[in-house]
Amino acid sequence: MFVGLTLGVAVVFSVDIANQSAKRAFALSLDSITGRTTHQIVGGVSGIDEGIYTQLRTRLGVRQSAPVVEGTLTVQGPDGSESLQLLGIDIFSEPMFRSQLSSLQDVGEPGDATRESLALLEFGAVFTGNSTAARLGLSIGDTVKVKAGGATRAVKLANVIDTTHQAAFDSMVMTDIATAQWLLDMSGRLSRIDLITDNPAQLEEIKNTFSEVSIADASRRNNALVQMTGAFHTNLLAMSLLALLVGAFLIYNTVTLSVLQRRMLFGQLRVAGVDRQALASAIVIEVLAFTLLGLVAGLLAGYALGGVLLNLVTRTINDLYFTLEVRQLNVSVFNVLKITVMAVLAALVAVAVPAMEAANSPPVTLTQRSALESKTGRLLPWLATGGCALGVLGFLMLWLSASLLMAFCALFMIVIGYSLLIPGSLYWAARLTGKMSFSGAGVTGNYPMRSLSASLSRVAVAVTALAVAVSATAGVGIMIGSFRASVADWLDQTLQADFYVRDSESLDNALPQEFVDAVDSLAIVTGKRLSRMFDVDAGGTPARLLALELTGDMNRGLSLIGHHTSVDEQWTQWSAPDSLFISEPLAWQLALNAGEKLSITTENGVRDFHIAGVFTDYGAGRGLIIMPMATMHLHWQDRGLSSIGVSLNAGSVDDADRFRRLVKPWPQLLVRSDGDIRELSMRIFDQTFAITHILRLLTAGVAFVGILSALLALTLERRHEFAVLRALGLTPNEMRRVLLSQTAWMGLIAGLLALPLGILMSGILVAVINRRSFGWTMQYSVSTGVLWESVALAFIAALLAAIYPAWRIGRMLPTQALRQR
Amino acid sequence: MKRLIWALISIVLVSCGDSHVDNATAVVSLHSELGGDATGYERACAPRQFSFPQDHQAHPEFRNEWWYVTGNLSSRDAVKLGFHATFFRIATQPYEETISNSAWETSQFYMAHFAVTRQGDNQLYADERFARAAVGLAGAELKDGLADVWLEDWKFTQTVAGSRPQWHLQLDADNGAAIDLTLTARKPRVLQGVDGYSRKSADPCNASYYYAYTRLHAEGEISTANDAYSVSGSAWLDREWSSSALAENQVGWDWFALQFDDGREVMFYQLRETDGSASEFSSAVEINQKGERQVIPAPQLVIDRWWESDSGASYPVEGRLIRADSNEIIKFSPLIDNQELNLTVRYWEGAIELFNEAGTAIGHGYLELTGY
Amino acid sequence: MNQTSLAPYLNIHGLEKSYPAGSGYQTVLRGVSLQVYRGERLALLGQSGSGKSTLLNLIAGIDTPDSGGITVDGVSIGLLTEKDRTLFRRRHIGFIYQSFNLIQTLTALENVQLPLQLNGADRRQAAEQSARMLDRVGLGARGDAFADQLSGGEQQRVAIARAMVHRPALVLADEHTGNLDAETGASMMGLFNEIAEETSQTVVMVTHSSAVAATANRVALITDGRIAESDLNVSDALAW
Repeated sequence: MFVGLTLGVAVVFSVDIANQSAKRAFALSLDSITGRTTHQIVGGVSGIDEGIYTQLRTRLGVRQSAPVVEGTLTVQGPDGSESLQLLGIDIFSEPMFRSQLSSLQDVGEPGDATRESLALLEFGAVFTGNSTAARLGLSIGDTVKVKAGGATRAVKLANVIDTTHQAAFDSMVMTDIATAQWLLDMSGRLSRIDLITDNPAQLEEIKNTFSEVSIADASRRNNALVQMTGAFHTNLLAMSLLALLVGAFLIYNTVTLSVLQRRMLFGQLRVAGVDRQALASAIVIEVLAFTLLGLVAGLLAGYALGGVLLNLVTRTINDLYFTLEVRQLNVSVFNVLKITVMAVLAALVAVAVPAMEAANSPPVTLTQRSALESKTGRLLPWLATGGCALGVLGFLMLWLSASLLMAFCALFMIVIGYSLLIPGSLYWAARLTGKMSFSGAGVTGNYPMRSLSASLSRVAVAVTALAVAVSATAGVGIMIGSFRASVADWLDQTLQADFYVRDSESLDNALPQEFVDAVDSLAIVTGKRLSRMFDVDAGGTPARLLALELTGDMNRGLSLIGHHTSVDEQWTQWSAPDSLFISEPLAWQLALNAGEKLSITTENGVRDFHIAGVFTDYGAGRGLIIMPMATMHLHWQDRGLSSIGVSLNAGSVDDADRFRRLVKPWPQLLVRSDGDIRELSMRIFDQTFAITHILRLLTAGVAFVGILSALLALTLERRHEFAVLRALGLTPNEMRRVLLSQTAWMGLIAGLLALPLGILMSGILVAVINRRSFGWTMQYSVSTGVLWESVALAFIAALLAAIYPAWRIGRMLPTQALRQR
Repeated sequence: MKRLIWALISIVLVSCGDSHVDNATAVVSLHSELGGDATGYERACAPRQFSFPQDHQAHPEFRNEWWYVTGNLSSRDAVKLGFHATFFRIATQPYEETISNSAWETSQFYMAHFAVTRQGDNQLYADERFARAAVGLAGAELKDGLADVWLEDWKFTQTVAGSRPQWHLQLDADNGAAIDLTLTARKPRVLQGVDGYSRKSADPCNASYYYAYTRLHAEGEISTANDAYSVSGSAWLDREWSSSALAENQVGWDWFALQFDDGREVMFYQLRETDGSASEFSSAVEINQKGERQVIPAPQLVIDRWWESDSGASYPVEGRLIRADSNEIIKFSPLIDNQELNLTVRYWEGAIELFNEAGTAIGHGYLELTGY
Repeated sequence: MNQTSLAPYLNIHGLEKSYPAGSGYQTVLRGVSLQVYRGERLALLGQSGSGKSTLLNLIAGIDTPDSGGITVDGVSIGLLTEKDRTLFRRRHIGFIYQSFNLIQTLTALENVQLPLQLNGADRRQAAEQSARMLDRVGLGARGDAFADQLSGGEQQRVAIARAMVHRPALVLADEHTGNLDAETGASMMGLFNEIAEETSQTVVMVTHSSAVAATANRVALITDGRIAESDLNVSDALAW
């Protein structure tokens, strides 16, 4: 009973808290990065002129403004090096902006805090989180080597910030704006200016004064970020809810088992004169007590497991979105309450039937199962009807609503609806199989099937749990398979060059002109893909702009979707002035389509661009806009290049070596072959989904325990019957075979029943949920391998679960069971 | 006056005390800062040759400096108002060694305090700002021969040069208080101490360079949170810079800037020592109608009333100055009691009215009380 | 005295058996020896707790003795492995329990079929043979009824049919009429004996009913875990 409960609780709880911790850290880091900022003054790739801030303060009197210089840098400590986010601020403009400064003052004496924050004013001083410092082996006062933009410089760790309540600082280095400009080679420039204002006239004035910048609505920027990771969290939540469903089944099963084990005892108690209510409440109280014990153990185990999961979640977020470091589990009363309510409810529902039955039955019939089973039989049509109704409702919801949340609700209704159909299916399958010869099992004629269908009420829940777990495995497996195939295709299509060269720190950094010239003069290069990438504000949401120029034999490497015009026609349109392509996720996010207009804030002000086409993109971050380099140059001053892709004479190893040698003199440049990038991408992809593998395994584990406890219940209940069979002449091995054949059948049926649901789930995940979450369209492909695996998983899980009960049943002495009668 | 400011600045930059910090302790803790190691900075150890307009701008080789303006005003319908606007410059390092090419890298910082007092209110409107002397955010420099002092959009701008210079003072606070005044010198510049060398303790280098315009005609607009007034009146400008000034045993001061209706001014500061007594380096001067300066013996200060602020400090806001030379009794009482500035540093700086022994109004002034 | 000159079909000697009870052991059988000859119908009489049922379980090989031996048709049960003992039981022994012990989840017919199926009979043949057997016990029409849908008498008849359908050489009956009223019990005994005689089955039945004992060839008396008398005729036994 403990194992079942503990496992069920642990899985749900761990997923829940891991998810929540990651989410909270994310919110914190958002808060600390953008704080209470309502708007941001942003510019092109190189940020904005710092003079704008001076003007803002001295001429316009915009007090609620704070300059920010940010970027990434590598911090080297004795115990390792890490890439961290650098946030350069002006402490005198900060107080009202960023939560870390106000909460810095919560640490110790108020005076101390401000004194500490003033230490930032010293040139070259930096702050970092205490856990970061500990990881890198740094202490206050240390001189620290940091690397940014190819240069290594020394700064002083002036203080560390207690990150217990400041999770965001785990991955951040804070410094004065002067130091930040120095480290990032950004003298004269700011990354942005944060504003707090609710005055449209003031914003208008700023816009009119500085035509070269744009003002982004910070809440919209934040929303876009929240939305991005929100989709990921929702997917995780879905997994945890599945685990919850399976966990609830499991708890139901376990509790039922514990009551069943003592049916005899309850009968005797009734004979001894214990009245119904007393018996029923005694059972309920006892079960609740056990549930609470299991709950506590489960919570502890879940907490431990949560740490592991949190790392995986964080890793996924880091891979997909941005650096976020959380090493702290965040558990709220609400998490605990949620899981407690779930466990207690499941236990109460589970105990209700047997407790009522035990209390209400005349003592003599307490040991008879047929009464209960015929009740179950009568319930089946109702279950099936309810299941169908839920399923239909779920599909209606999918069809009628476009929201992600609704899609999840619908998915769950469909899953629950389907699981309500499972007992009925099981019953009919058992009757059907029962009619067929079972001589394969050697001995026992109708008995195994008959006995199984007679124990339907016991077995159905376990089989349902197994089927749902396996279907989730199959569904997610198919989804990931489809996704992986789509991404691989997309990479093949996108990666047209043989080598790509970029700055190793950031795509914002331009390649050195001497390098660009060197590539130009290299004869072996047969085609080039020149690109510049930076952040822009597109229709109010932040997006990445990719300006592209292809020369020589370089292929386009984009997969355009939508076929209202030919691909060639779309490319022709794209080359025309003020045209561009947008990525599918961006199109989804902005509800825009090819042929429509997209406004982008350029250095010449807001301009409308014609959307010539929509291309497939599986980048999870911001939406992507692609325009010809020439178009970009019309609207932005920037003439740098973020990366160069080159194609060389096919297959020449010498040429590849020559190219690599060409890059050598620029240590800050990173050369990657298309193969490297593909491999890296696929590795990130697989890493991203590592957590789902683990969750799938956990879910299968829960289902396994479900089957195990169901079988234990079965053998306990049927001790006497088995004894009779033994007396009639079934050998121990034949007995075992009876049980194993029953279990194998259950596993097989669960596996088979899981398939339609799995396919259905994957269909919904691919066509609805991922589309609504990320705007990704995937090619849907079901590999038979996944299907086989699922059936095999169910079958093997069931058989493994049967080993212990089978062993027990073989060792059972028939006389004892017979005599107990 | 404005010793206080040494404390303020140092508190802000070094200990960052707030109203909970015991001021005496804070000040005492400052002595090493202010009176102690000034290595590398220029110091005021002897009289010097002043030259104008250059000396209106900042002297970054000294550690601290201020432009300190106070004034009493009245509106057309005779509402009495006071204002106080100070720009402080603080250096955190003696030499400007820049490592980077970032314009933000500097060791010069500015702090400004601004307060408006209106007769009949129960509080003053105070605000403060900070900025670094970089990227044009704050500074004090000559532009076309005129001194321009600013911290963001708070401005103290010289508009006329010469022996009767004129300034434009413009500040507005987040709480709605604002001033926009033209200040015109009615008397020539006064060099305080010995030819502008003002010694504050036994160490000759614990001193400052100090000059003042003791009577400026003020004309313009002033606003409290909700009301705006056209006003005129008289103001006072103190200019002082130094690298160390306080002695270890000095805990606070009472500083009077008095403007009499008969055209005289009296400046008197009394430094209080740890034992509560007045320091021998307390000082008093009288400026006559022609602008001639004369050192007078320190008057006797008799306190008649203490006022306790919400922050719990008690200030001697009402009392009498008894001149030792003429036995003239100058009674003073505040325009309103609550003129405490509860900012990054807490002190009392307020408009006062002056009366003779008979109770007849004879003038007005500003009183600064620190270390309470 | 229907003793034949042949070796006994069932030979029991020096059987001892005790069970754990409380902190110690309760000895149930204290050296039981008994011979039953082929075709004999032996009634075992004895008080409650005298060890009658234990003796039957030992004979059937469902339980093993602490010491002593049992041979059935020359086969020493104790020397067999658990599996062989089970196979031996499945082929040669039919067992009728006082509480019938029908499999609740199977129909009457399926219950009767079980021994035939266990012995590897052809499915159809087993069905026919079982149906005939059910007919014999008067339940031809009730073959599709589940065990708990049958009356006590009907269940007992199914139990008899199940125990004898595969023509075991040895039938063990434990108070097989104990749960029935006298009239039903009597008719049951008639049926039982009739079938047993047809195939000259050896029968050992535990009872404390004189009416039942009266149908036996021989009566043995068991007291305090020992055979007190093994050769009483019915009237002796009744008198005793």
